[in-house]
Amino acid sequence: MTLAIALLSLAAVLAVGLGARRLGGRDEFFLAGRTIGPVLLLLTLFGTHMTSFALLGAAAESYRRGIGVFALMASSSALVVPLVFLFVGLPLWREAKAHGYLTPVGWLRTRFQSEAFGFALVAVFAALLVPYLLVGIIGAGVTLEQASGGRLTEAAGGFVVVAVVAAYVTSGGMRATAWVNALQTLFFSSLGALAVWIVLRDFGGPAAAMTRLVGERPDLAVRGSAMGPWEVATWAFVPLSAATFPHLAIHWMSARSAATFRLPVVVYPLLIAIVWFPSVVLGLLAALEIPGLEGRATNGVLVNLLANHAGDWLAGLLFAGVLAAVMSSLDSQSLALGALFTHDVVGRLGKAIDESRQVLYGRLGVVVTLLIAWSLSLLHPPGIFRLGAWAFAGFASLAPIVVGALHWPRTSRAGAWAALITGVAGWCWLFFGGHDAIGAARIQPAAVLVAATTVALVVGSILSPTKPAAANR
Amino acid sequence: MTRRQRQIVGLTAIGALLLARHDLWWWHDPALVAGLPIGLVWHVGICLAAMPVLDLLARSCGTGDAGP
Repeated sequence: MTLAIALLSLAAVLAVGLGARRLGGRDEFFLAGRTIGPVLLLLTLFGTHMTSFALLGAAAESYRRGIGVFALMASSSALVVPLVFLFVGLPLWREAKAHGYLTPVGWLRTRFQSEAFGFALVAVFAALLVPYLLVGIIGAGVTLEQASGGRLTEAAGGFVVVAVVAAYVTSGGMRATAWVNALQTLFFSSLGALAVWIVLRDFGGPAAAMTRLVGERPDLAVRGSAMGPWEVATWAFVPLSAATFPHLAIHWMSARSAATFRLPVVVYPLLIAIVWFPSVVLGLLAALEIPGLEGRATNGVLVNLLANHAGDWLAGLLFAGVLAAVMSSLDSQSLALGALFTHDVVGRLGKAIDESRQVLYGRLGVVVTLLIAWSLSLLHPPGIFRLGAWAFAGFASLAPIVVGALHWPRTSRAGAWAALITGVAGWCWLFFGGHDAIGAARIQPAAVLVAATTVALVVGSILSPTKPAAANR
Repeated sequence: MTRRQRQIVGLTAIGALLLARHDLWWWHDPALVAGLPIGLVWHVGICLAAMPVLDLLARSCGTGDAGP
């Protein structure tokens, strides 16, 4: 039953994705012809941004650290991400619409008049996205392995998901991706509400459950010593990563008009609450019902809890929900890398390529990206989950470059290079030094990196000679 | 209110909400409100309070018009 539900969900996704295909050229494939409306933009942005962490990871974290997980991760994203949409996404959309850019790198390359900077950005984006992709594929493989009771291996499960994503993305490009993401967002959003309602009912209702929590595990009902104000403050820098995720940028660039951005900006915090609140509460309830789990064993608390309360069918829906959350990021990430490969590597290395070839290269880029990521996932690189989490800090460190390029005319190529080099060097130093949370106050690396790259951008720009405004192509 | 004024008001309000995330007065308080821990309710409230502020900001950035 569990596996059947999971496979049925994959079939539904494939049907929607293949059915969403519309005939058209390059702009249709990569950006859905820049026709995405507000509801679809909201749902696809949210689905792309949320990974399986919002379901499984949030519950595991609240199992360990209590209600403060919502404060750390959810309320910070609810405030910062919509600001990114408004002050990065919307102006980027305007630039792309006015000048025909198909990727954020294309715009930045023109803004700073530097082919080398464009290539460097592609390399950095790819290096940060690949671990993120691996985490998703491994998560999908593990989910299908669990759903099948071991009949599907993790490798086979990962391949099934990769094949489904490759099929609808190569077929329908951005439009298929957007429609599938919308379906998946609605699904995993409502799944959390259903799950928390069922489990709370069995606990005697929210008041009874939380009274029991306060009595048995008061440490989970408060922030207390589980986290300090500096950790909460510096977590607000992590969602700045949305400013440079290429897989979000291509969705912004597919919007129909400026008015399209209003609904996603306004409703995003509500969706955050709808998805994160149930996950956090379910983690708290799991701590009451399945105490004593430590380390990696906590990753499965949500699955175990739901299996206890609603048996196979809800566990099957949860597996399908996890797959939905994973795929809604995988499709956009692979399409973004396919677009970067086509327009910012192949398209810059020789003669201009015609539109039909651009679409072909885009499709090839999607398939190659997914195959490489799946192959790497078989190696189970040690620390891959840590690396995936660190990708957020890496992307956040680049945010000052994009913000400066959009809003501070004085931002120069030299300043951008200084910020990029500082970000890469700083990231490597913090990551390989094991500085996952800095000091007793647990300062988030993203905060340190954003501060460092901002200083580098400003100093580098001020010290460099002023140049005429970039000519647009 | 001009667009600029709306942006200033909106960004100031977002700043206030970011500060409000540091609800030190409830940091160690396990009190329940509507059956839920007050620290959780407060932060859900922050998410919901952000919505009208973001609407004000969105309109100040030109998303209230049909054109670009």
